[in-house]
Amino acid sequence: MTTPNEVDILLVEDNPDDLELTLHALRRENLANNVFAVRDGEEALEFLFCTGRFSGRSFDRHPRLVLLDLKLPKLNGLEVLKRVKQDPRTKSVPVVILTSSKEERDLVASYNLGVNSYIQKPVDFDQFRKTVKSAGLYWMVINQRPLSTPAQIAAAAAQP
Amino acid sequence: MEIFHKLFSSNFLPHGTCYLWDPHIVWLHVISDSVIAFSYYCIPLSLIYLVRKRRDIPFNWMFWMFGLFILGCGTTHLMEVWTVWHPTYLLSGIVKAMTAAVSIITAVALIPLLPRAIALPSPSQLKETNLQLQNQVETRMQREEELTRLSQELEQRVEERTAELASMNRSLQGEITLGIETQQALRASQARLSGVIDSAMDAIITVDQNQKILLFNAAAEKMFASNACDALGQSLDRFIPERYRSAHAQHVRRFGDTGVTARSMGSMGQLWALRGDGTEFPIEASISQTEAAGKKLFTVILRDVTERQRTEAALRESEERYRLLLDGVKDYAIYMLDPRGRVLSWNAGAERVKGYNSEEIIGQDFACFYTAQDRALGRPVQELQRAVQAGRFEEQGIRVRKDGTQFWAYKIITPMYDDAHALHGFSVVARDITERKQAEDEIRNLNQDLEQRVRERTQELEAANSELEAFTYSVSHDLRAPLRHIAGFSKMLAEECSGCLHPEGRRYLQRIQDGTNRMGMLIDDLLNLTRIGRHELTVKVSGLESLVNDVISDLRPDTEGREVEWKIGNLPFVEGDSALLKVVFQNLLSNALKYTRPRPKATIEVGTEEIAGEQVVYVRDNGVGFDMKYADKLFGVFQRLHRAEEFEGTGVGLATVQRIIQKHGGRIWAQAELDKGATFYLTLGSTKANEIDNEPILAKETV
Repeated sequence: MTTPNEVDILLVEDNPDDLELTLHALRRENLANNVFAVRDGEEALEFLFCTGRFSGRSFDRHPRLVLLDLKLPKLNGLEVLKRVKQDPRTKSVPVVILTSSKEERDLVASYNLGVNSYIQKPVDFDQFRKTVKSAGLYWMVINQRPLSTPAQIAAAAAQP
Repeated sequence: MEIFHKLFSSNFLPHGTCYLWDPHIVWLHVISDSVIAFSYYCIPLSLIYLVRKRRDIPFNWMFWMFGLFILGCGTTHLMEVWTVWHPTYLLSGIVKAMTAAVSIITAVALIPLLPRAIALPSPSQLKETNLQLQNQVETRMQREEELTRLSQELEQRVEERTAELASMNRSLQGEITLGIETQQALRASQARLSGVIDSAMDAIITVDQNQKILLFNAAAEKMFASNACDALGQSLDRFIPERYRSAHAQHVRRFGDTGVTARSMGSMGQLWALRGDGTEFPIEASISQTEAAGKKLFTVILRDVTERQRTEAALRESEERYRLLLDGVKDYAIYMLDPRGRVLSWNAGAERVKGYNSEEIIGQDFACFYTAQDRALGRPVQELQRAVQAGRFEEQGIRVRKDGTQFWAYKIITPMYDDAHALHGFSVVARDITERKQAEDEIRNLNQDLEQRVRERTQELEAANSELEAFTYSVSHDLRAPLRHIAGFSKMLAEECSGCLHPEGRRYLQRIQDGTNRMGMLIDDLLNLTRIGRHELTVKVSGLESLVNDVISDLRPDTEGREVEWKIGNLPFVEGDSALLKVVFQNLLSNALKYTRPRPKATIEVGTEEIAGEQVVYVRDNGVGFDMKYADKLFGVFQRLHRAEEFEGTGVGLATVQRIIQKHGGRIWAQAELDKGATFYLTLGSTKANEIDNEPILAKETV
């Protein structure tokens, strides 16, 4: 596990089994070096907005990917997604929903809130591993992200 | 001669000598005598002029006498002059003598004239007379003016009278013209009358006192089948049946005595007439009498009423039938009202419904059928008025029976009009609908109850539905999670710790993994099925052929290593949700592939067929088929006709197919025989989106 300021992937997952299986899959694909896990929606927001326990964090060091479960204690995944995508300081952070459900209403709500990707966790573990591998590779390796800091991106977005 | 000689010869000395020829004396006498003579000559001339001018002067002869007298006087003076130089004294004496004679005559004549001359009016008298005359003249002038005025008036009146006379003359002329026209009209009228008589529909026969026929018109000829020339002069008796003849004769006689000019006949009963051919027929007659040339004439106007009586009889019969019919109607009160609402007729049904018998109710106001409240509101009259306005009045309402009990009546009031379109009355048909009303009330209560129950049930179902929604959501999220954990950790166990397990342990682990995978598939299929239930159709026209070909290429991996013959016929374009239709064919074709697996060569056919006039799409395979006695279980959820070891599957596929077809308003059924393949038939009804509610799939899927 890594320190909050060196996070590549923020994993928001309340279920310890899922947490372990996901971390196992990421580790197997060598993507788990800078993974940080939070266990509910509130903690996720504190992390991303550098408040509470994470007030020492800097906005300039945002994770390169957030893997977000939908069913979470306190604040659910959709609420977290909404706050992240509405705030100029965090909206450029890629958020991928990683959940059990592929209920249409969850998909629609997520995309309406600006989710970057929606992945259903397959029951079959092999398939799950393939999925995690593909997603990790894509967002961590293939996908290009701006070099500017989130603050700079926000300032640019504020200009007309 | 001698006298003349003596007269003009003298031996006397001239008178001048007496004057001694003194010129002064001579000329004094000569001039004076001359002037007197001149004057004396002038006076008679004036008198003569006067008398000639004024012939009205009284005693004008006296003026002549004076004239002569003065003329004589003048001549004597002239003789005086003459004798101055010529001593003819004889002549001078004669002249004097003549003058004397005239003088004396004049004087003598004058004396008797004096009283008359005195009687002549004096100038003052004349003046007075003149004045009187003047007055008289004025009076006369006034009178004359008056006369003129009167005369003018008279002329005026004469003119007016003339004008009057002229106008009278004109009108008289007009009247004369009119008189001519009247005469012409009279002649035309007579012609018409005779035309009318001859063209009258009624027989017209005129007879004299002795019943001798004097007039027999064309209608009479036709009616009695006899020519006028045969009838004229004959007795009327020949047209009267024998048994009525004497009575008829008496009747006519009595009628003649009454002096009544006209009346109808037959007051004693039906009249009959006799035709020329001896047949009798009923008639209607009227008789009139007139006197012509001191003889009494009777004119009879006759009408053959055979046809009318027949019609009347038919009408009576019809009315009787109608009455019997109305009386036979027991369930309906049928009655008539006069225009004021009084009961005119009453059938047995009315008696039964309302309780009054016809003797009691006929002539009564129909308002007694209404409740006191309705009567107070004027409902009875209003309903009649509305029937007249609308041509019909229909309603259900509370009415009152004779015994005061109330009942529900259904009633139709229809106004009736006579031939002249005058309101004749009303027909009323009423029925006691109390029972029906009660039944309706009961039904209404039941309906309300039912609606209430439906509402409750709907609420229950809605609750169940939302619970189910929550359930599927929960299944989707929460039931899969532990399954994934089992699958994940057992996989990790198998991979990382397989060395610690003996072969039996590894086999168990494999079974766990198979079980979790199967469980995963089941959950996914079930979730798909519920998703279809909630899915709103997006209907558009899709070509089935290309859709089926897409599905076949998707299934390509499953056909590897197998010989499969696809026979795709001409498939139609259909209206439907193409995504769901694809699911249908994915299921049907993958089933076909699955159940033909034991066949060395699979033949799968997709085509159309017309069954009972309906185009049906079928999917046929030569697979293992099934026993038709389980056909009803085929489309049930989790229903399988094969063991899992034989053919894998969740038992959700056909249920999903059926759900989609039903959602499109179509049907699906199967025909099969064990070991001889199966055929699935499907139709797609004209589907409206949302036609099938998003009902919970589990509650529905019990085929």
